[in-house]
Formats: sequence, structure tokens, C-alpha cells
Amino acid sequence: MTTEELQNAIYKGIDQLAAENRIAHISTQLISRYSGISEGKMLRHIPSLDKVISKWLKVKEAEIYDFISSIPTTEEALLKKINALIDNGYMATLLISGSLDPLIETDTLRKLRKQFEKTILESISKLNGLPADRSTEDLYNELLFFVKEVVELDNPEARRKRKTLSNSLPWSAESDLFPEQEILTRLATSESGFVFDPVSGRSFTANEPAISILKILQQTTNISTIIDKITTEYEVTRENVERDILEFAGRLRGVL
Amino acid sequence: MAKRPVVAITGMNAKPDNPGPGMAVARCIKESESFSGKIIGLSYDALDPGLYRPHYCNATYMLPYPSSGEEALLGRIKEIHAHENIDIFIPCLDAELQAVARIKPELEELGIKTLIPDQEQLKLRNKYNLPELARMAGIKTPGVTRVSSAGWFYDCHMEGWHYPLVVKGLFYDAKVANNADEAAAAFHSIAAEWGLPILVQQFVEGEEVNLTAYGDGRGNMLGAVMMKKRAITDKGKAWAGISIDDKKLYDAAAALIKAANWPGPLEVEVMLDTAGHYQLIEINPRFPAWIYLSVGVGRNLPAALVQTIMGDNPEFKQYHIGKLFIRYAEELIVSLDEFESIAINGFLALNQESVAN
Repeated sequence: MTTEELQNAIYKGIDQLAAENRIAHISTQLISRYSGISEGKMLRHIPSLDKVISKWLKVKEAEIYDFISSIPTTEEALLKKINALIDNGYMATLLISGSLDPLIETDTLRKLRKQFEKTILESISKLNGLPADRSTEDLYNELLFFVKEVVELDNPEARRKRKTLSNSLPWSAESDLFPEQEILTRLATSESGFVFDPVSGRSFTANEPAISILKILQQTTNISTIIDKITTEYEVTRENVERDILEFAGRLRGVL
Repeated sequence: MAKRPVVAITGMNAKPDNPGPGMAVARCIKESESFSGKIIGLSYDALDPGLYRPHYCNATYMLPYPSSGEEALLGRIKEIHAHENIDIFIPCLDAELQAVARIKPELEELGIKTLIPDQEQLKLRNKYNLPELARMAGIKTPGVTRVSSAGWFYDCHMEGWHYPLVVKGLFYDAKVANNADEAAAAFHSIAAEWGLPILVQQFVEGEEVNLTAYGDGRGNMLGAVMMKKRAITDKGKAWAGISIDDKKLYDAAAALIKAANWPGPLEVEVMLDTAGHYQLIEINPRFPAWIYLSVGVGRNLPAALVQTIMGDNPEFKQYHIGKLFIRYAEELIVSLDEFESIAINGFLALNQESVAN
């Protein structure tokens, strides 16, 4: 194996480590396991761990700049970029993740993240049909928070969000607030507030307003329609109903 | 059912944290309106409560432990048959199934009918063969391997295994281990009780759902009942559960029965993992201890099995979804005479009038 091949194998190992978000625990032992190069052989060819990481970051810096320099001007293009970022693994960790090894040069990283923020902010500002009640910065933070959860966590909520990002930006995906329509439709509800899912066997209790929302949800998950129906039936403000719906949606996702 | 069949049932043990299914199977059959025969309870330990419960059995007998070999087992069944004239034999314990499968021809010669898998079919459901059966049925299953030394747990990462792992006995018991030390401790404790080899399965995080049914041996699944555990014992056994209707689980079990041409009762244990995929965890070649739920939901499976074995075609109606069972423990009072009869003679005639009164 030539020195170049050895170096490439080591970089590939660090790519994989970063993609699995394990870079905060990097060690020669871990790099050895991920690159398939024995620790002894690796230590004979590299001066120190921090120098290897520094060289690796230099290589990646160029790749990442290339990736984030172009500004997507449509929702479709922005989604494509975000999904490519998540699929890329190591790039998502470097640009988004909060858990990184102290050996990673913070100046380089700060520069990369600043450029990423600039690109995405500019991209969002060019999109049509943005929610009127939130600023571009709010939407950027919402998107970053969303992607961060997808990159850092491996739980049902993170997987749901990953699915959402495959075709919608967080603020255009209101229907993903609720469990799937098929699940909502099959729920057995009683006037006493007892709700039972006959497929999963799960049950929970809900108060009267929640049961009213659930009964409407069994027909539609369009928030505007739900708010219209509830404000017609009860003397409540739209803001209060919207808040209740969002709160209940979170609870439903937790129990179903 | 024209005849009044005599049905012999094993597995009358009922330790609260891990009960055998025999008492529940007997209870189901005894309570069936279609059944007017006799039930004979068979057991391996004089302290098994089913031996003394006249509500479920008309008479009870001790059997030699499966480790005594099938000749001893067959000899004892012949003795009991001479007294009771057994028509149907329903084995309820995993550990005895291989022996019963081997003596099946002799049982048939005696006029004792069974509906159980043969030795090859039993091998298919062996815990270490599950990946092959799951592949045949198109279901996912976590990786499994056989381990004969506790040292394996300290090097298993070299073979691609990662914690948590489930350490299992060949027939019973399973412990989740989060590291090599816990796994080695589980290995020694399970090996001491159930022997070697020990099986190791990759842990699947999710929710367990179970299905029980029986196969007709021609690839058809009969009378499925599905349940989700709502509370479990320290050993992971159901302490409370609720009937559910899960089409994916039904289809998976039907595919398994078809793939193996499975005859007789079975329990399919499946984990719905956090990604929403079904992972086959285990197949038990018998009714589960929670089988009385089948009566609760209106689909008495043990009674239907008896009808099928007797040549009838039981009817399976839609069952009730959302019925719960909650298990509990209570004390059974046993007279010294009864205990003596089991301990000395290996037999007890149970007074049916005491039940009526």
C-alpha cells in the first residue's frame, strides 16, 4: 500500500466516523477500526492524531465550500441541497452537529458554518409563499433545528422529520404534524374520553376539546378546516384553537 | 363433536413469573360448550398447581422428565392410557416437543391423536434457524448465533455484534445484556439452568406483539388471535395484554405457517421496531400461557383444536378487539392426602363434585 493509498483509507475512515456523528470521540483506535488500517501501521506513518485531523479538515474544507457556495433559488433546489447534505454524512456533522472533537479547528469550522448560514438565509429569502408571521431568520433557525435533530438523533421523531424533508420544508409540512390518516381513522373513541388503537393496542385518555379535535382529525388533517369547524361550534379564538391543536398533535405523535 | 374425547394436556406448571400453558389450555377446553369429554393433566413436578385443580382436570398424572428419554415417556403414557383411554394428546412445553414428535407413530398406534409438527418442522423454528424460516416467509429477523463460551462476549465486536444483545436459553429464558460483563453473567445463569449452547440474538428495540393460532399441516393458518403485551414480568412474560387486530402481523404469521406447512398450535412473537418494521423474535411450537384470552375474545382455540383433531370443522367468527387479560396469583389449598397421592403414586383423581358445589 502506497503512502497515498494509506492516507486515503484513513480519510475515508474519518469520513465514516464523522458521518456516524462519532467524531467527538475520535481516537487512533477508532480511526484504525473504521479505516481497516492497523493501529501500529497507522502510527508509523502519521505524526500525531491532531495533525491527521487537521489535514483531513483541509481536504474537506474545499469540498464543503464548493457545496455551499451556490445558492438554491427554488424550494425544490433548497430541499435537494438539504437532502444531499444529510445524505453526505460527514458534511452534515461538520456544518450542523453540536458534538465535535476539540481537535477540530474552530476557526475553519466557524467560517464554514457562517458561509452555510449566509447561503441558506439568502436561499430562503428568495422563496415564494413563506409564512407571513415569521422572519427569514426564524425560518432558517426552524430548518436548522429540524435538520440537526435528523442528523444527531435516531428515534421515531427524527425519522419522521427525515421523511418530511424528503419532499417538504418544515414550514410547508403541516400535515406531518399529525400521525398518518390511516392510524387516526381506525381509532375507537368514546364519549368518556377513552381512545383505543385496535392495531397497536395502545390506549390513552383525552379531554372533551381533544376528543372534538380528534373526531375532526379522523376526517381531515387540514389545520384551517379544523380551526373553522371548532370556532363555528365553540366560542373560542382561532389563536387558542391553533395552539390547542399543535399541543394535541404533539401528544398524539407521542402516544400513537 | 359426537364422541366424548379424553384429552391429555401437559404443562400444568404455573409459576407466576413464567407460567406453563397447560392449565390455560385445559381451562379453555373445559369451559367450551362443545366439549363434554374428560381432561387429563400431565406434569413433571409434584408442586405444579394444575395437578390439584379439579376445575380444569378430571385426573392428573406425573410424567418422567424429558431428560429420561422418549422410551420412559412412551412407557408412562401407555400406563396412563391403559387407565384413561386417551384420545387426544396436547403437548404444551417446548422442551418435550422433540420427544413427542419422535413417539408420534407409537401414539397413533395406541389410538392417541396429536396435531404437532414433525422433527424437521421443529428444527425450522429452532431459535438459531429462525433467519432461514424468516427468509422463507419474507419477514425480517434479528441476527442469531450459538455461543458455547462466555469469553465470546468480550470479543464479539470483532464479528460485528454490538450491545445490547439478548442472551437466550435453547428452550427458555432470555436476558438483555448491555455489556460483556452482563452478558457473561446471563450466559452462566442460563447455562446452569438450561444447558449449552446459549443463543445470542441482536436486541431489537420496539414493541412486542404476539399471535397465536394453529396450522392444519397443509399450509393454512386457523383461528388467529393477536395480543399486545401491556405489562410483563421480570422474565418478560405477559402479565397483562390486550387483543388487537394487526393485518401485517396476521400476514406474517400466515406466511410462516405456509412456508413450514405447520401443523398444530404455535405462538409467533414479533417486535415492531422503532423504524416500523416487523422483526420475528421467536416461534413457540405450542399455545402460549395467555391462551385463555382466546376464550375472552370469542375464539376458543384449544377447543377448536380438539374439534379439528376429532375431524370437525370449527367455525371462526370475527373476534373482539380491545379485550384485556390481567394475570394474578392466588394460593391453592392442597390436602396432604392429595399431595401424597401425586408424590407416591404419580396420580390424582380430582373430585368434580367439589367444583359444582
